[in-house]
Amino acid sequence: MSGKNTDNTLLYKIRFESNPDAFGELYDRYVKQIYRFVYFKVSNHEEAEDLTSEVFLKAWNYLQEKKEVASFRGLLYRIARNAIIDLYRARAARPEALSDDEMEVTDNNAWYQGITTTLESEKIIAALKNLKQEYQEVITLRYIDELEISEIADIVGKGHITVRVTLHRALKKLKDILGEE
Amino acid sequence: MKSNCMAREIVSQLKALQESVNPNDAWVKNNRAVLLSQVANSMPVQKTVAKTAPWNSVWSRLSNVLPRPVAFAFRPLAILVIVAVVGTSGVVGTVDAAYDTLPGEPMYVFKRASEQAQVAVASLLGDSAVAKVHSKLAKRRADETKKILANSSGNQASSAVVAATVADLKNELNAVNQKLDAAKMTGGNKTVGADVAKDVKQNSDQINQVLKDVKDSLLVTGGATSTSQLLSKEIGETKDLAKDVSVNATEVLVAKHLEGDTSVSKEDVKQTLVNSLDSAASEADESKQTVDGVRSIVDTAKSEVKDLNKDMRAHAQSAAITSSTKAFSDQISNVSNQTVAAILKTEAAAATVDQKVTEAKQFLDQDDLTKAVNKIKEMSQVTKEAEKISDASVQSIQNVLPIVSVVKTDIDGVVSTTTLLDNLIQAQNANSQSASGTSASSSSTSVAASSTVSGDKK
Repeated sequence: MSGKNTDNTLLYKIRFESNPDAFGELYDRYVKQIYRFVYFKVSNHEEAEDLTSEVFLKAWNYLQEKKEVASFRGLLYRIARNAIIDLYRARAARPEALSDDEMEVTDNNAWYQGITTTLESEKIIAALKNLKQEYQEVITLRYIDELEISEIADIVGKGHITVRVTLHRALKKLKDILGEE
Repeated sequence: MKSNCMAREIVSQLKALQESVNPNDAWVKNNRAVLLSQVANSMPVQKTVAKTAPWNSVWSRLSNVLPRPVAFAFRPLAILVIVAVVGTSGVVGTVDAAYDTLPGEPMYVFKRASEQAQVAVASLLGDSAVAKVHSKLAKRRADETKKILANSSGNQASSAVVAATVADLKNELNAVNQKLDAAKMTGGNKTVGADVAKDVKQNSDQINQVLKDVKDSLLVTGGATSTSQLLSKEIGETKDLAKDVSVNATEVLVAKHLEGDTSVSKEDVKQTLVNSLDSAASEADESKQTVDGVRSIVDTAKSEVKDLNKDMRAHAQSAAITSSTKAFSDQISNVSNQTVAAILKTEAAAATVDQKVTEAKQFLDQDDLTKAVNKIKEMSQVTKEAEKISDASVQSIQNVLPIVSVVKTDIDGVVSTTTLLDNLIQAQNANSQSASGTSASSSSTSVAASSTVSGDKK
C-alpha cells in the first residue's frame, strides 16, 4: 500500500512538475521486474535490455501526454507486452522464420534458458513450459512478478473474474503436471 | 488439505524464481543515465534550463523582487549578462571538459545544458542565429551517433542510446527546417540570411554523409536483428530529413540572393548549386552500384545452394533436410527476382538524375537559378527513392545469407560451402576495388562483407 502511494506521489511530480528525478525513482523501482518479464519472453539479454529501455521511454512519453495513470506498474507491463508482441510480429514477417503458425506471444519456451536454477527450480520451470501461453502469463504475473489481480486484468485486457478463473485453472494444471512427476 | 499444501509449495517455488533472473547492474546504471538524459531532452527548453542552469535560480529570486513588467524586460539582458559571467567562471572548465562526451557519460548533462543555453541566447538574436545553432547541434548529434556505434565495437551497442541520439538529431533538423520555412514565407532581416542558409546546407550535407557511414557501420555491427533493422530504418528517415533540410537551405539561399542579400556572392551561390547536382548524380550511381553488388552475392548464393542440392541428392540426405533446403532455395530465388527488379529501378533513377543534372546545368548557364533549384528538388526525391530501393535490397540479402550458412552446417559429410562463399565474396571485393577503385564500389563490397559476417554469426 505504501509503495502504491509513493508511486502516486512520484507520478504527480512527473505530470505536474515534469520532474526527471521522480521518473528515475520509478525506474529504480521497476527496472528489474520489467526486465524479468521481458527476459522471460525473449531469448537473450541484449533484446531484453533494448526492450526494457524502450518500455521506460514509452512510459515517459505516455506520462508527458498528461493521460491518467491508475497504476504505473500496470502501464509498464502493458507497454512491455505490446512491445513484445510487436517484436514477434516483426520476427514472424522475416523470411527466415521457419514456422508458418499463427503468431502468438510466445518465445517457444526459450525464457527458461540462461536462468541459474536449482533442481527444484528446474522442475517448476519444466512444468511451466508445459502450460499453454495464457496460463504461463497469468502465473508469471501473479506469482513471480506479484501483481494484483486488477493489475493483471488491466494488462491482459480481460475482466477480473476471467483472470481469477484463468489463474485457478493454470495453478490446477501446474499441480497436475507436477503431481504426475 | 494435501492439495492446498501442494499449491502453497508451488507458489513458493514460483516466487523463488524472482532471484534467478536479474539484469546486469552496470547496464541498469548506464541505462538509467541515458534514460534520464533523454527525458531531460524531451522537456520544453525553459524547463530544461530551469533544471540544469544555475542562472535560473538567480533569476527566479530576482523576479520575486522586481515589478513584473520590469522583470520581463530585464530577463533577456540578464541572460546575456549571466551567460557572460558564467563564461568567465569555473563552470567553463566543466563545460569544456564535457564537450567530447557522449550520451550515457556523466559529463554529458553539462554538454546538453550548455547547448540549451546557446539556443536560449540565439532565440534573442533572431531566426538566423537559431537556425545556425540548431544546425550545429544537429551535426553534433550526428557525430555522437557515429562515435557511439564506433565505440560499441559489436558488443552491446545499446540501440536505445543510438535511437535516442538519432531522435535528438531529428528534433534539431526539424527546428532548422522550421526557420528555413519561415524564411521562405516572410521577408525581413530577422529571417535566415543567405550566408546562414549556405552554412546550414553544408552542415546538412555533412550530416547526410555521417549518417551514411552510420548506416554502413550498423550493417556490420547490427547484422539482421529486428532491432538493428528498425534502427537502420530510423537512420534512413533521418538521412532523408537531412537531405530535405539541405534542399530547403538551397532554396532559401537562392531566394535571399535574388532578393538582394549579398552576403553570398553569385559565384558561390552557383557553385553551391553545382555541388548539389554532383552529389545527386553520385548518390544515384551509388544506389545502383549497391544493388548490383547485392545481385552478385545473390547469384553466388543461388549457385552454391544449387550445388548443395546436388550434393544432398548424391548423399541421400533425409527428406526433411532436402525439403528445408528446397524451401531456402526458393527464398533465395525470390530475393533474386526482387533484386533484378531493384536493379531496373535504380538504373532508371540514375538515368533520370543524369537527365535532370543536364537540364539544371543548362538553367545555371542561363543564370536561371530558380529553375535550377527546382531541378535539384526533383532530383532529391528521385535519389531518396533509389536509396530506399537499395536499402531494401541489402536487407533482403541479409535475411537470405544466414539461411544459406545454417543449412550447410547442418549437413554432415557435405563440404562446407560457407568458406567457398566467403572466398567468392572476397574475390569479388578484390576485383571490384582494382577495377574501379571508387568509394561507391567499396560501399557495395562492404555490403557483401557485412552480410557474410552476419551469416557467419548464425
